[in-house]
Amino acid sequence: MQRDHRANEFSEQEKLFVSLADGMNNTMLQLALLSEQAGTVPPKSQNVLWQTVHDVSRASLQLLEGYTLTMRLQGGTAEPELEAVAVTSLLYDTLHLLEPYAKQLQVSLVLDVPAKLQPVITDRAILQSALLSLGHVFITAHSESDATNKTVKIGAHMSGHGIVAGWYGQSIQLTTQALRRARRLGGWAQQPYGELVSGPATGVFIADSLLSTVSTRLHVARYHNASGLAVTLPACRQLQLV
Amino acid sequence: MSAVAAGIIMHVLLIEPDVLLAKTYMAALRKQGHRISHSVTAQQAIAAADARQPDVVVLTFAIARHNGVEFLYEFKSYTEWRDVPVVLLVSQLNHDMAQRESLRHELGVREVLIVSQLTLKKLCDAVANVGRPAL
Repeated sequence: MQRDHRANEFSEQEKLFVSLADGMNNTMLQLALLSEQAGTVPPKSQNVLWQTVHDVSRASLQLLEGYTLTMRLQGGTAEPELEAVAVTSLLYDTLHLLEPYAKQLQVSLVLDVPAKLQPVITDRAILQSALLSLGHVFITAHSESDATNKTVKIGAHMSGHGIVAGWYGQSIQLTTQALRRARRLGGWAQQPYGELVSGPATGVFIADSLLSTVSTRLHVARYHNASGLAVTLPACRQLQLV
Repeated sequence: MSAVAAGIIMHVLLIEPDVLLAKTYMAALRKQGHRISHSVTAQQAIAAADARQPDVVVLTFAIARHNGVEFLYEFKSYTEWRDVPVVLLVSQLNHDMAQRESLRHELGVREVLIVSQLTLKKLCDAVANVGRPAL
Protein backbone atom coordinates (compact mmCIF):
# COMPACT_ATOMS: atom_id res chain seq x y z
CA MET A 1 0.00 0.00 0.00
CA GLN A 2 1.32 3.41 -0.92
CA ARG A 3 1.57 5.89 1.93
CA ASP A 4 0.35 9.42 1.33
CA HIS A 5 3.03 11.69 2.82
CA ARG A 6 0.88 14.62 3.77
CA ALA A 7 1.90 16.98 6.56
CA ASN A 8 -1.01 15.98 8.76
CA GLU A 9 0.30 12.41 8.78
CA PHE A 10 3.54 13.45 10.46
CA SER A 11 3.59 12.87 14.18
CA GLU A 12 4.69 15.79 16.39
CA GLN A 13 8.03 14.03 16.90
CA GLU A 14 8.57 13.58 13.17
CA LYS A 15 7.76 17.25 12.56
CA LEU A 16 10.26 18.29 15.21
CA PHE A 17 12.93 16.08 13.70
CA VAL A 18 12.40 17.48 10.19
CA SER A 19 12.54 21.00 11.58
CA LEU A 20 15.79 20.22 13.41
CA ALA A 21 17.34 18.64 10.31
CA ASP A 22 16.37 21.70 8.28
CA GLY A 23 18.03 23.99 10.79
CA MET A 24 21.15 21.84 10.97
CA ASN A 25 21.45 21.94 7.17
CA ASN A 26 21.97 25.65 7.41
CA THR A 27 24.48 25.34 10.24
CA MET A 28 26.47 22.72 8.32
CA LEU A 29 26.55 25.01 5.29
CA GLN A 30 27.85 27.86 7.48
CA LEU A 31 30.59 25.62 8.89
CA ALA A 32 31.56 24.20 5.49
CA LEU A 33 31.89 27.65 3.93
CA LEU A 34 33.72 29.15 6.92
CA SER A 35 36.23 26.29 6.72
CA GLU A 36 36.63 26.82 2.98
CA GLN A 37 37.17 30.53 3.56
CA ALA A 38 39.74 29.84 6.30
CA GLY A 39 41.76 27.89 3.78
CA THR A 40 42.06 30.95 1.54
CA VAL A 41 43.21 33.57 4.07
CA PRO A 42 46.58 34.11 5.77
CA PRO A 43 47.07 32.33 9.14
CA LYS A 44 46.63 35.59 11.10
CA SER A 45 43.12 36.14 9.71
CA GLN A 46 42.12 32.52 10.29
CA ASN A 47 41.63 33.02 14.05
CA VAL A 48 38.54 35.16 13.53
CA LEU A 49 37.00 32.54 11.26
CA TRP A 50 37.79 29.66 13.63
CA GLN A 51 36.20 31.64 16.47
CA THR A 52 33.04 31.94 14.35
CA VAL A 53 33.14 28.19 13.66
CA HIS A 54 33.47 27.61 17.41
CA ASP A 55 30.58 29.92 18.39
CA VAL A 56 28.23 28.58 15.68
CA SER A 57 29.01 24.98 16.68
CA ARG A 58 28.35 25.74 20.36
CA ALA A 59 25.00 27.37 19.57
CA SER A 60 23.97 24.35 17.50
CA LEU A 61 25.04 21.99 20.26
CA GLN A 62 22.73 23.87 22.64
CA LEU A 63 19.87 23.36 20.20
CA LEU A 64 20.70 19.67 19.76
CA GLU A 65 20.84 19.27 23.53
CA GLY A 66 17.36 20.78 23.80
CA TYR A 67 16.10 18.39 21.13
CA THR A 68 17.64 15.34 22.82
CA LEU A 69 16.23 16.38 26.18
CA THR A 70 12.72 16.79 24.85
CA MET A 71 12.88 13.43 23.03
CA ARG A 72 14.01 11.72 26.25
CA LEU A 73 11.26 13.42 28.23
CA GLN A 74 8.60 12.60 25.64
CA GLY A 75 9.87 9.03 25.42
CA GLY A 76 9.85 8.55 29.18
CA THR A 77 13.60 7.94 29.60
CA ALA A 78 13.89 11.17 31.59
CA GLU A 79 11.53 12.78 34.09
CA PRO A 80 11.03 16.43 34.98
CA GLU A 81 12.24 17.32 38.46
CA LEU A 82 10.24 20.19 39.86
CA GLU A 83 11.99 22.54 42.27
CA ALA A 84 12.12 26.21 43.20
CA VAL A 85 14.14 27.99 40.53
CA ALA A 86 15.51 31.53 40.79
CA VAL A 87 14.44 33.08 37.50
CA THR A 88 16.84 36.02 37.46
CA SER A 89 19.95 33.85 37.76
CA LEU A 90 18.61 31.38 35.18
CA LEU A 91 17.94 34.17 32.69
CA TYR A 92 21.38 35.63 33.35
CA ASP A 93 23.04 32.26 32.68
CA THR A 94 20.99 31.80 29.51
CA LEU A 95 22.00 35.21 28.22
CA HIS A 96 25.64 34.51 29.03
CA LEU A 97 25.55 31.19 27.12
CA LEU A 98 24.05 32.82 24.01
CA GLU A 99 26.24 35.91 24.00
CA PRO A 100 29.05 34.55 21.75
CA TYR A 101 26.52 33.50 19.10
CA ALA A 102 24.69 36.83 19.32
CA LYS A 103 28.00 38.67 18.93
CA GLN A 104 28.74 36.74 15.74
CA LEU A 105 25.38 37.83 14.37
CA GLN A 106 25.88 41.43 15.57
CA VAL A 107 22.87 41.29 17.87
CA SER A 108 22.94 42.76 21.41
CA LEU A 109 21.38 40.91 24.33
CA VAL A 110 19.85 42.65 27.33
CA LEU A 111 18.54 41.23 30.61
CA ASP A 112 15.36 42.95 31.78
CA VAL A 113 14.07 41.77 35.16
CA PRO A 114 12.58 43.61 38.14
CA ALA A 115 14.74 44.01 41.26
CA LYS A 116 12.73 41.41 43.19
CA LEU A 117 11.27 38.35 41.54
CA GLN A 118 9.89 35.28 43.24
CA PRO A 119 11.28 31.86 42.38
CA VAL A 120 9.16 29.62 40.17
CA ILE A 121 8.29 25.96 40.42
CA THR A 122 9.70 24.14 37.42
CA ASP A 123 12.53 21.91 36.18
CA ARG A 124 15.59 24.12 35.87
CA ALA A 125 17.23 22.17 33.01
CA ILE A 126 14.01 22.13 30.98
CA LEU A 127 13.36 25.85 31.44
CA GLN A 128 16.94 26.78 30.63
CA SER A 129 17.03 24.55 27.57
CA ALA A 130 13.71 25.98 26.34
CA LEU A 131 14.92 29.56 26.78
CA LEU A 132 18.23 28.77 25.07
CA SER A 133 16.40 27.24 22.08
CA LEU A 134 14.02 30.16 21.88
CA GLY A 135 16.84 32.68 22.26
CA HIS A 136 18.59 31.08 19.32
CA VAL A 137 15.60 31.90 17.10
CA PHE A 138 15.22 35.46 18.42
CA ILE A 139 18.90 36.22 17.80
CA THR A 140 18.69 34.86 14.24
CA ALA A 141 15.44 36.74 13.63
CA HIS A 142 16.92 40.05 14.72
CA SER A 143 20.08 39.53 12.68
CA GLU A 144 17.80 39.27 9.63
CA SER A 145 15.83 42.37 10.45
CA ASP A 146 16.52 45.66 8.67
CA ALA A 147 16.12 47.56 11.96
CA THR A 148 19.18 49.54 13.01
CA ASN A 149 18.75 48.63 16.68
CA LYS A 150 19.29 44.87 16.81
CA THR A 151 18.70 44.31 20.50
CA VAL A 152 16.95 41.28 21.94
CA LYS A 153 15.73 41.20 25.52
CA ILE A 154 15.44 38.24 27.81
CA GLY A 155 13.07 39.24 30.57
CA ALA A 156 10.71 38.19 33.32
CA HIS A 157 7.91 39.93 35.19
CA MET A 158 5.02 39.19 37.49
CA SER A 159 1.53 38.74 36.12
CA GLY A 160 -1.78 37.71 37.63
CA HIS A 161 -1.11 34.12 36.60
CA GLY A 162 2.51 33.78 37.72
CA ILE A 163 5.96 34.76 36.48
CA VAL A 164 6.23 35.42 32.74
CA ALA A 165 9.69 34.69 31.32
CA GLY A 166 10.67 34.96 27.68
CA TRP A 167 12.42 36.69 24.79
CA TYR A 168 11.33 40.03 23.34
CA GLY A 169 12.30 42.36 20.52
CA GLN A 170 11.10 45.73 19.33
CA SER A 171 11.54 45.06 15.63
CA ILE A 172 8.99 42.24 15.50
CA GLN A 173 5.24 42.10 15.97
CA LEU A 174 4.01 38.65 16.90
CA THR A 175 0.42 37.50 17.12
CA THR A 176 -1.28 34.49 18.69
CA GLN A 177 -2.75 33.61 15.29
CA ALA A 178 0.72 33.49 13.66
CA LEU A 179 2.06 31.33 16.49
CA ARG A 180 -0.87 28.94 16.05
CA ARG A 181 -0.18 28.76 12.30
CA ALA A 182 3.55 28.23 12.94
CA ARG A 183 2.74 25.27 15.20
CA ARG A 184 0.69 23.72 12.40
CA LEU A 185 3.37 24.34 9.75
CA GLY A 186 6.50 23.54 11.80
CA GLY A 187 8.52 20.66 10.32
CA TRP A 188 6.52 20.80 7.13
CA ALA A 189 6.76 24.28 5.57
CA GLN A 190 10.20 25.71 4.90
CA GLN A 191 9.24 29.00 6.53
CA PRO A 192 6.65 28.04 9.15
CA TYR A 193 7.04 31.23 11.18
CA GLY A 194 7.74 33.87 8.55
CA GLU A 195 6.55 36.66 10.87
CA LEU A 196 9.57 35.91 13.05
CA VAL A 197 12.36 34.31 11.04
CA SER A 198 13.14 33.13 7.50
CA GLY A 199 14.34 29.65 8.47
CA PRO A 200 12.61 26.66 10.07
CA ALA A 201 12.32 28.34 13.54
CA THR A 202 13.36 25.04 15.13
CA GLY A 203 14.11 26.62 18.51
CA VAL A 204 10.48 27.71 18.90
CA PHE A 205 9.22 24.15 18.45
CA ILE A 206 11.91 22.63 20.67
CA ALA A 207 11.04 25.15 23.41
CA ASP A 208 7.33 24.41 23.00
CA SER A 209 7.94 20.68 23.19
CA LEU A 210 10.20 21.00 26.26
CA LEU A 211 7.71 23.21 28.08
CA SER A 212 4.85 20.81 27.36
CA THR A 213 6.66 18.27 29.57
CA VAL A 214 6.14 20.62 32.53
CA SER A 215 2.51 21.28 31.51
CA THR A 216 2.94 24.70 29.97
CA ARG A 217 3.43 26.26 26.52
CA LEU A 218 4.86 29.30 24.84
CA HIS A 219 2.54 32.22 24.29
CA VAL A 220 2.79 35.61 22.66
CA ALA A 221 3.60 38.30 25.21
CA ARG A 222 4.35 42.01 25.40
CA TYR A 223 6.78 43.56 27.85
CA HIS A 224 8.13 47.12 27.99
CA ASN A 225 6.84 47.94 24.47
CA ALA A 226 8.41 44.84 22.94
CA SER A 227 6.72 41.81 21.46
CA GLY A 228 7.91 38.30 22.16
CA LEU A 229 7.34 34.69 23.12
CA ALA A 230 7.21 33.71 26.76
CA VAL A 231 6.13 31.09 29.24
CA THR A 232 4.08 31.68 32.38
CA LEU A 233 5.23 29.69 35.40
CA PRO A 234 3.71 29.32 38.86
CA ALA A 235 5.48 31.38 41.54
CA CYS A 236 6.84 29.47 44.51
CA ARG A 237 4.57 30.61 47.34
CA GLN A 238 6.43 28.88 50.18
CA LEU A 239 9.66 30.73 49.49
CA GLN A 240 7.68 33.90 49.05
CA LEU A 241 6.77 33.77 52.77
CA VAL A 242 10.36 33.27 53.95
CA MET B 1 41.62 33.87 -12.45
CA SER B 2 40.17 36.80 -10.47
CA ALA B 3 37.61 39.18 -11.94
CA VAL B 4 40.16 41.98 -11.78
CA ALA B 5 42.61 39.95 -13.85
CA ALA B 6 39.87 39.04 -16.31
CA GLY B 7 38.63 42.63 -16.44
CA ILE B 8 35.07 41.79 -15.41
CA ILE B 9 34.47 43.57 -12.14
CA MET B 10 30.77 43.56 -11.34
CA HIS B 11 28.35 45.04 -8.89
CA VAL B 12 26.69 42.07 -7.18
CA LEU B 13 23.43 42.51 -5.31
CA LEU B 14 23.42 39.77 -2.66
CA ILE B 15 20.12 38.97 -0.95
CA GLU B 16 20.81 36.62 1.94
CA PRO B 17 19.13 36.84 5.36
CA ASP B 18 21.76 34.69 7.06
CA VAL B 19 24.44 37.13 8.21
CA LEU B 20 27.17 34.49 8.56
CA LEU B 21 26.58 33.02 5.11
CA ALA B 22 26.42 36.51 3.63
CA LYS B 23 29.80 37.34 5.17
CA THR B 24 31.46 34.31 3.58
CA TYR B 25 29.86 35.01 0.17
CA MET B 26 30.94 38.65 0.32
CA ALA B 27 34.50 37.84 1.32
CA ALA B 28 34.85 35.38 -1.57
CA LEU B 29 33.28 37.68 -4.15
CA ARG B 30 35.29 40.70 -2.97
CA LYS B 31 38.44 38.65 -3.30
CA GLN B 32 37.51 38.25 -6.94
CA GLY B 33 37.37 42.03 -7.20
CA HIS B 34 33.57 42.43 -7.30
CA ARG B 35 31.66 45.14 -5.47
CA ILE B 36 28.85 43.86 -3.27
CA SER B 37 25.64 45.32 -1.87
CA HIS B 38 24.16 43.05 0.76
CA SER B 39 20.48 43.07 1.69
CA VAL B 40 18.73 40.90 4.24
CA THR B 41 15.17 41.68 3.15
CA ALA B 42 13.36 42.12 -0.18
CA GLN B 43 12.59 45.74 0.67
CA GLN B 44 16.25 46.51 1.36
CA ALA B 45 17.23 44.82 -1.91
CA ILE B 46 14.90 47.01 -3.96
CA ALA B 47 16.35 50.12 -2.27
CA ALA B 48 19.91 48.87 -2.87
CA ALA B 49 19.23 48.21 -6.56
CA ASP B 50 17.64 51.63 -6.84
CA ALA B 51 20.74 53.24 -5.34
CA ARG B 52 23.08 51.35 -7.63
CA GLN B 53 22.27 49.27 -10.70
CA PRO B 54 23.39 45.67 -10.10
CA ASP B 55 25.15 43.61 -12.79
CA VAL B 56 24.20 40.32 -11.10
CA VAL B 57 21.76 39.29 -8.38
CA VAL B 58 22.67 36.47 -6.03
CA LEU B 59 19.51 35.43 -4.24
CA THR B 60 18.77 32.85 -1.63
CA PHE B 61 15.38 31.17 -1.97
CA ALA B 62 14.19 31.64 1.62
CA ILE B 63 14.11 35.29 2.61
CA ALA B 64 12.16 36.71 5.53
CA ARG B 65 8.42 37.15 4.91
CA HIS B 66 8.83 36.23 1.21
CA ASN B 67 10.34 33.58 -0.95
CA GLY B 68 12.94 34.36 -3.55
CA VAL B 69 10.62 33.79 -6.48
CA GLU B 70 8.04 36.27 -5.15
CA PHE B 71 10.85 38.80 -4.83
CA LEU B 72 12.04 38.12 -8.38
CA TYR B 73 8.58 38.73 -9.83
CA GLU B 74 8.54 42.13 -8.19
CA PHE B 75 12.17 42.92 -9.03
CA LYS B 76 11.76 41.97 -12.69
CA SER B 77 8.62 44.10 -13.05
CA TYR B 78 10.94 47.14 -13.20
CA THR B 79 12.22 47.61 -16.75
CA GLU B 80 15.71 48.71 -15.67
CA TRP B 81 16.28 45.42 -13.86
CA ARG B 82 14.57 43.07 -16.32
CA ASP B 83 17.85 41.94 -17.90
CA VAL B 84 19.89 41.57 -14.72
CA PRO B 85 20.96 37.90 -14.52
CA VAL B 86 20.21 35.96 -11.35
CA VAL B 87 22.08 33.25 -9.48
CA LEU B 88 19.55 31.42 -7.31
CA LEU B 89 20.60 29.46 -4.22
CA VAL B 90 18.11 26.73 -3.38
CA SER B 91 17.77 23.64 -1.22
CA GLN B 92 17.37 20.26 -2.87
CA LEU B 93 13.65 20.52 -2.06
CA ASN B 94 13.23 23.57 -4.29
CA HIS B 95 15.53 22.39 -7.04
CA ASP B 96 12.81 21.07 -9.38
CA MET B 97 10.84 24.27 -9.06
CA ALA B 98 13.96 26.34 -9.67
CA GLN B 99 14.64 24.44 -12.90
CA ARG B 100 11.34 25.53 -14.46
CA GLU B 101 11.73 27.18 -17.85
CA SER B 102 9.56 30.11 -16.75
CA LEU B 103 12.13 31.05 -14.14
CA ARG B 104 14.82 31.16 -16.78
CA HIS B 105 12.80 33.04 -19.38
CA GLU B 106 10.66 35.38 -17.30
CA LEU B 107 12.89 35.96 -14.30
CA GLY B 108 16.38 35.70 -15.74
CA VAL B 109 17.56 32.89 -13.48
CA ARG B 110 20.76 31.78 -15.22
CA GLU B 111 22.32 29.57 -12.58
CA VAL B 112 20.71 27.47 -9.86
CA LEU B 113 23.04 26.30 -7.12
CA ILE B 114 21.99 23.69 -4.57
CA VAL B 115 23.17 24.85 -1.17
CA SER B 116 24.18 21.40 0.09
CA GLN B 117 26.67 21.26 -2.79
CA LEU B 118 27.67 24.90 -2.64
CA THR B 119 31.28 26.00 -2.32
CA LEU B 120 32.63 29.53 -2.44
CA LYS B 121 34.45 28.62 -5.63
CA LYS B 122 31.21 27.45 -7.30
CA LEU B 123 29.51 30.69 -6.28
CA CYS B 124 32.34 32.83 -7.71
CA ASP B 125 32.33 30.77 -10.93
CA ALA B 126 28.56 31.15 -11.29
CA VAL B 127 28.76 34.92 -10.84
CA ALA B 128 31.56 35.11 -13.39
CA ASN B 129 29.57 32.98 -15.85
CA VAL B 130 26.34 34.91 -15.72
CA GLY B 131 27.66 38.41 -15.15
CA ARG B 132 28.04 41.12 -17.64
CA PRO B 133 30.85 43.68 -17.34
CA ALA B 134 30.10 46.93 -15.52
CA LEU B 135 29.95 49.99 -17.74
